[in-house]
Amino acid sequence: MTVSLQLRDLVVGYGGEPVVRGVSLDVNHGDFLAVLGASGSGKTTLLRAIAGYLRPTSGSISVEGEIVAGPHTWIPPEKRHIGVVPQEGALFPQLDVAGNIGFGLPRRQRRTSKRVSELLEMVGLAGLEKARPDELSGGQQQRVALARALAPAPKLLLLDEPFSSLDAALRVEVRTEVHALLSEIGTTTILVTHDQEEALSIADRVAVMSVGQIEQVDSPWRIYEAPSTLGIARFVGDLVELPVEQVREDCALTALGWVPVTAEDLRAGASPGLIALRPEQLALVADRFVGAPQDATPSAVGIVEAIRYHGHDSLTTVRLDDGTSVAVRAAGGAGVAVGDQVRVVVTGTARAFADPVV
Amino acid sequence: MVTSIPLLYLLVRTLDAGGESIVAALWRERTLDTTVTSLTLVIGVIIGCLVLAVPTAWLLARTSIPGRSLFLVTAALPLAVPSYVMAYAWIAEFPAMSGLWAAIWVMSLATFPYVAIPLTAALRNQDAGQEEAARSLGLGPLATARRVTIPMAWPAAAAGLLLAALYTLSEFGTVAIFRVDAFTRVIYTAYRASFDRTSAAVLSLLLVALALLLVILEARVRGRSGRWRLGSGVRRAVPRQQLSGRAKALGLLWLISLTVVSLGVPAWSLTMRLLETRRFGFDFTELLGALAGSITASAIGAAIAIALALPIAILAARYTSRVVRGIEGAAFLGHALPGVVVGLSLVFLTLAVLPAAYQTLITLAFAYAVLFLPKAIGASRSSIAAVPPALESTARSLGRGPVRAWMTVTGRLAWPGIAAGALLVLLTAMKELPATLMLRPTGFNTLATELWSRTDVEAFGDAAPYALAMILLASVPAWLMGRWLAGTPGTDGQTGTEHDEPVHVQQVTYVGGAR
Repeated sequence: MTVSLQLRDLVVGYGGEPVVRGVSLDVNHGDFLAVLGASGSGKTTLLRAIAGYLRPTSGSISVEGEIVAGPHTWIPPEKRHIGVVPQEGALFPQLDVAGNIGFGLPRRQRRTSKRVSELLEMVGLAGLEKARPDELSGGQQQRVALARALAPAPKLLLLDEPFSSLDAALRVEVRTEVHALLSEIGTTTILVTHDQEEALSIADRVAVMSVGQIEQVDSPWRIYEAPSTLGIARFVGDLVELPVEQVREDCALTALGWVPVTAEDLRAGASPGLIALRPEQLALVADRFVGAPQDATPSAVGIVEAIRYHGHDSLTTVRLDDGTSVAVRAAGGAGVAVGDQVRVVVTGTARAFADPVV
Repeated sequence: MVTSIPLLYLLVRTLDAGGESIVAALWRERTLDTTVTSLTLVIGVIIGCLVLAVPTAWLLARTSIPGRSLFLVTAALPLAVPSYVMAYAWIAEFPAMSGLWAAIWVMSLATFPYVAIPLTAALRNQDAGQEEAARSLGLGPLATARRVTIPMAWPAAAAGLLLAALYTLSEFGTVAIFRVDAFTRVIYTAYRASFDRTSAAVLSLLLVALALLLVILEARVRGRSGRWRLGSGVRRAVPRQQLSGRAKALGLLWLISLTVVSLGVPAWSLTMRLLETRRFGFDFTELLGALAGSITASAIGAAIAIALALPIAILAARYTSRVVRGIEGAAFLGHALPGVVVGLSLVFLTLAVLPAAYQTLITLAFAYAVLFLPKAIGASRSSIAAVPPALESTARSLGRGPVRAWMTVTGRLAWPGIAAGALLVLLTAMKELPATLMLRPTGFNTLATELWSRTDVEAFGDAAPYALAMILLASVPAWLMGRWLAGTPGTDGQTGTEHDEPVHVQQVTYVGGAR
């Protein structure tokens, strides 16, 4: 696999403190990479530097082996052949849909070629050539913006939170379509987003960014199941954190009993301060006597404190006898009521981290 | 509806005169000459406005030139100088000035803010998104300006140009001072000559037709403006261009020269005249009398205008049926109604229908109301529209009747805007000249008519105190406009995230200058 985009020690800022502080990253040809970060993490600044809207303070950016920004090189955005889909679409309001999509094509191809209608068909808007941008819904605008960016066949496509302005149901629909479309064309794509679910569900790889640096680049399931820091673990999903009282071989003693811990975490860290479990690794047993203490499965007894029911799943908060609260996710309803006495059972292994600095 | 009565009457009256005399009045070399003169004047002013406004707006909106906020104010200030006061100031300093070129020069200086201010705002408020998208699609900076920036800023410039053109077309004082035989002066002369009133009426209708043509033309070239910003998320300001030392010097030279010719010369000229006046002594009671006259007539006019405007404004802000839009559009055509035409038609109307009302204060005030109704509607409409309808319906659900709910919620919140509209009409009406000359009761004087009678006999020194008083009065709306433009922080929470410069939403309100 060839490298499509290469960043080396990239530092970008707006004059004061740098916002992107030394990012190195390789994106392979045809890859779909999501840059995931909270607002203020520098992810949009990184994208703007790649697009050529911002000049890096130091470091270099290469696209398909050619340096586009470096100590002695600066290629303006119009010569980089990088497509961008901005947050709000930024369609040209004075042009119709066909005019927008054909904007980046050579003059001869703008009106005559079939390229525009092909692209429209590709994004599922066939026949809308003459529509004005303000007549389109938010989702349609984003699709036109995508078609416009794809029209000149860019070497690289950048998506700047393109789905964040859409409502929840539409967001899932549009991004699923976009993902299918982009993997069919095979364009190298970088998506910038603050939405964990979005990053995990459509990217081949996810780069988690925090305070101007990339903390982990991995497959979505590694990011979720094997986060390298407690910060990432908390950022990408709900977390049950339990203080560790004692460690024995590959198990840690917590409020839920002896919980098995991923071996590599115990080898690397000297003495873990806490373990982290995802709520779906816990299960409820209505009868408090099932799974008695002599059973090998770690478990504890508690009282149901609150239930958040979402339809497809539910999150139940249980206060254990020693006072710790844990969240338990169950597919569908949990079959318990507030005040019920239940047993919480652990499945799988936990991640261990050093005590977080408070 | 009320606004169209004078115009309809003018039409009826003209048709009454019979086909032959209409044709006779139209088919005169004089008519063609007048049309050519007026059109040349308007085209000259349009070009003048573009030449003065475009570089100014670009410098102020897109570059790092020093003193931007100061120059933004000085670019708006010419609106505070009624155009015929500016004409007077120039001719008092350079008595040789006269003719079409002098009128184009002064009118361009007086009206370029109509283009410069909205264009600056449009350039400054453009989202960087579109320009960035154009760059990523392979367009260089110049191609981006040609294909994205200019088309997006064009509606703002076109609207400003329309205002400047309509203003020029209906301007009376300046063309009279420079002895340019444009429509307004010819109509007024024909009216004064009194034996030729049919000719005055026919020319008036021609003038209105020309003004309507301009409005239609503007709607055509502006195209479908649509919403310039789609979506509702974060907006990113376009970064300012850093100027080199030489470019900065040239830019400053331009802005300073512009300030000198548009403000410096009138200020210098008026100050000199004023000093002369003090040497000869000056009758203050006359000035106070004129001031009182101005305020009385304008205040009654403003009251009538607001009374007529409120129902239209309420309907237009809350409901958008075709009928309402039609009524609103008809009222806005008032922008195209020159003072001289309204004056003439009310003279005819009162003489024919109600001779007792001829040359009374109430007729004069009614003329002001007809002329400046659009301003009153504009101001009250936007402030009413800014009150969320949910507030009013909540008041209804809490047991208030429709009228009380409106008074205690919407009216209560919108009243500053409505009051501003009334103030605007009042101040604009104080500067009105031709209709006042035609309709005022005998012996009734306003600041504008006193200034006029003095410049008419070339008593330039005596006119200075009146000119100064008018500038002071006119500064109020210009100051308000400058304050609006300077930007109150956006109320819709459009602040940037991810280290973007926060962008404030500017409101541009067209505040009329002199008439």
